[in-house]
Amino acid sequence: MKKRDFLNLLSDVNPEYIEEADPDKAPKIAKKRVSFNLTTFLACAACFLLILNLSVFLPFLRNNDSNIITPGSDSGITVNSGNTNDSLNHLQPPTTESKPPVNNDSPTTESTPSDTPPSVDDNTKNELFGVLDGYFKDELDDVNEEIKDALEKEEEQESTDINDNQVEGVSEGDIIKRSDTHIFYLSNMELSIYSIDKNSSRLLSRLPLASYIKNSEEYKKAKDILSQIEQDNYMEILDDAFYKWEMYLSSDYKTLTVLVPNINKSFDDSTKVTTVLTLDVSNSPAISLTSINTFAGEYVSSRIVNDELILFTRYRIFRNYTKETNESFMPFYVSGNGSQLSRDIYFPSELYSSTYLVMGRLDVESGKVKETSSFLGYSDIMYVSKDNIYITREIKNDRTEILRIEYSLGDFTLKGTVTVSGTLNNQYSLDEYNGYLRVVATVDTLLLSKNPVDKQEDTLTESVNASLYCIDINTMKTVASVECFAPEGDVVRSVRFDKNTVTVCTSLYYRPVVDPVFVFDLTDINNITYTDTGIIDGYSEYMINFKGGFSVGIGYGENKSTLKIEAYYSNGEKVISVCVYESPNTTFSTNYKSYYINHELGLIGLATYDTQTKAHRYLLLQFTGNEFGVVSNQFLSYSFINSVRGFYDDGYYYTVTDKDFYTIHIGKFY
Amino acid sequence: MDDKKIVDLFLERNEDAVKKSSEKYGKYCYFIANNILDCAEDSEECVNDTLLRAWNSIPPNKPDSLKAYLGRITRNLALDTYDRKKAQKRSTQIELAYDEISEFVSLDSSSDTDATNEIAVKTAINEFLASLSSEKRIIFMQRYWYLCSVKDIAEKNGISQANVKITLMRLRGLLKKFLEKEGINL
Repeated sequence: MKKRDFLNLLSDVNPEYIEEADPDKAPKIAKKRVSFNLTTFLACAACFLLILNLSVFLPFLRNNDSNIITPGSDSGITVNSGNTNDSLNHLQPPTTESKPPVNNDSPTTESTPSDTPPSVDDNTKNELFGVLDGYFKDELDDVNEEIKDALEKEEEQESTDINDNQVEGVSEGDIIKRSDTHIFYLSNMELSIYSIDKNSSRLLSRLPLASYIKNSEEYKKAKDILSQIEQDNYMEILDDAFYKWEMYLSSDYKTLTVLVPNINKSFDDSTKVTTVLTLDVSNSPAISLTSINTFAGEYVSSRIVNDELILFTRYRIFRNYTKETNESFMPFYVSGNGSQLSRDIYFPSELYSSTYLVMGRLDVESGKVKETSSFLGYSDIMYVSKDNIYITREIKNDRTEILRIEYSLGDFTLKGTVTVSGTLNNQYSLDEYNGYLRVVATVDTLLLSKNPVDKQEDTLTESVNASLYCIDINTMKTVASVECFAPEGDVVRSVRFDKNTVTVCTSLYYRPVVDPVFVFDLTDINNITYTDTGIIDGYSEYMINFKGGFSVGIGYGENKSTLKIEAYYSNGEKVISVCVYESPNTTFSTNYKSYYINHELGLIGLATYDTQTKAHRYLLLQFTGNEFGVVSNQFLSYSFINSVRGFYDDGYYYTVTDKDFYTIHIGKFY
Repeated sequence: MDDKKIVDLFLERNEDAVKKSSEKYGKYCYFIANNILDCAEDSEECVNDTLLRAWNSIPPNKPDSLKAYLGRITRNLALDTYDRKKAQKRSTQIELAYDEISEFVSLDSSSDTDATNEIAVKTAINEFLASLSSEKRIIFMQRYWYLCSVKDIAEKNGISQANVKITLMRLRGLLKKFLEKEGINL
């Protein structure tokens, strides 16, 4: 075939891919995997990055004999030489307040912005909607005793967190939060407040939060994208538009903390920042603004632990260095006290990226910033336990470096680092339990060698597999591992830890239509045992633990147009597929935060889209221990399935979309 | 105006269809053509030809995605134009792309593609693209469909040029292996 023929054939690819990759519209890529075993290319990459980093750190001079950084005469940075780490260097900014340039449009004080959003009363008058749709099933007469007990237990629980948080006691942000009486839902840069009142549930108000930041470029960009979505149904770019907006509701239901991607235009090239709005919702639906803080960098993730918000942002530097813009190279935050540089800056001895991961800690109620630290070169995969934060970065030779940062005793304190082979999928690849950090990684080795037949031609060979590591968190040393446990060519698709058990789904990289599911017993790390299902159809993108030792995977069936939900159980000798729910011609929400998981009742809720009938639905299943029962499969009006949320409360199922609100009476469980 | 209405105008033989297409996708088509031709005059001509060809082909065609449809016509026309004019001026990007794909496309120009093999290759390419993550697919498509430079891809996606190069090299390797597994020898 001629090369030109190949380019011509490429013209006929699926139109979706053409639109997806439109350079003017494609979402920015959140790069996860960067390292390869190709010496030649690494050398090129290293040279490139070296040049890049030299330009970033031109003002700083390096001591030859240690990891300590000596600031250049222009840098204005003091050195903390007594707090260095084996592999990381540590900088502290000057104690005097330093003021990076800040856009005047950005909120800098705790005062209410001049452009106050419409009051809730006005909204209530103007935008009061009732329950828009819904239907009713049988009465709740024949609910069995077990379910009743579960319902009572649920009522006794203090927490009403809807999300299936990875770690108990560590809350994750989302676009929905609820109190006993209200639902708070973020969509289209608006906060919608609904009452929870069974059949009388209704929309109480819509608060246009964007008016707090209405002059921002991010707002304008999002509006453009929204109008484009209306026209062209661009599902992909929706993520960038406003899925990154997230929020938290404090445990006393009085404070709503909203995290808003934003842009500060004071630098030559606009700098992405994250604005933290603290709202008083104690008299909900009346709402007032308590404080606004702004952090350097785009929003990555966050957690709330013990009413403290831990915020992660990514601060990228693309500018060329000049003395005048010196301070703009340093991560900063803006609060009621003005602009301040990040307190601590850590950077590794080997740099591969000029991107900072900025960590901030705020008191939820007051919105006061307690601490910030920055880590140069670290990525967006992080795991937060009750005591520690683990952040990761990919390094050369397809390895991952993991930092342990203790935060439970006050400050962010770097405690150590460890390196494992392979790369991680997401936060679920990590778990801390009983003094051990457990990690599941895809180990991908790519080798370039001379073709034995034609020596002029290079041959590319790749070996892919999965490995499990156990790390002592005190020493940060790997103390046990199970390496390459999957069939050759398999990558890790989903992982879920549950105390001493971990369920892992792997599948082939090219043809993800078959997979094994593994269940490991980590009770004795000196004798780790595991069983698996053998090869079965499909693979799971998300794994859930249910009581009784069951794991449920949400993913694909024999092809990627089939939704498959499958329950697994390990009897110690083999992992058994207990039951399967399959729906052909169905795509489903790929945002794990949109899944409703009720462990007590065995409920699984998610939004789906039938590609043949073009129908949007909300599927609610109940896993009974031996089957999946369809509790409901209601139609939704047109909506973005990743933004649909639902939850069960007191006999009713509430579904919120970016357009509508539904209440269903659940009359009968399985 | 949304795409469906524009396509309806084409179907109704309403000349506003061309005007509206030009307004909405003229810049997009120009971008594709100019990536290949690197010449403003030729690229503008290519966009005009695209609109004319769309006018002549809708109906009978009724594209689901007008954007992809116009983009595809532009790309094919621009590649034809490039072939005709490459003796006068060679585009760096397309020559680089040719070099890159020679890793898995035979240099033997006599091995022309028959229709059956063509369908198999098209199917395999679509399957390969479907198996990629969105991020990798975007990089692949921007390089080999839109023929963007590595520098442009890096800037537009907020990643380093080194990352783009490595990702592309890896994807070419994967595609080669994928095609081999499918029994397709280019």
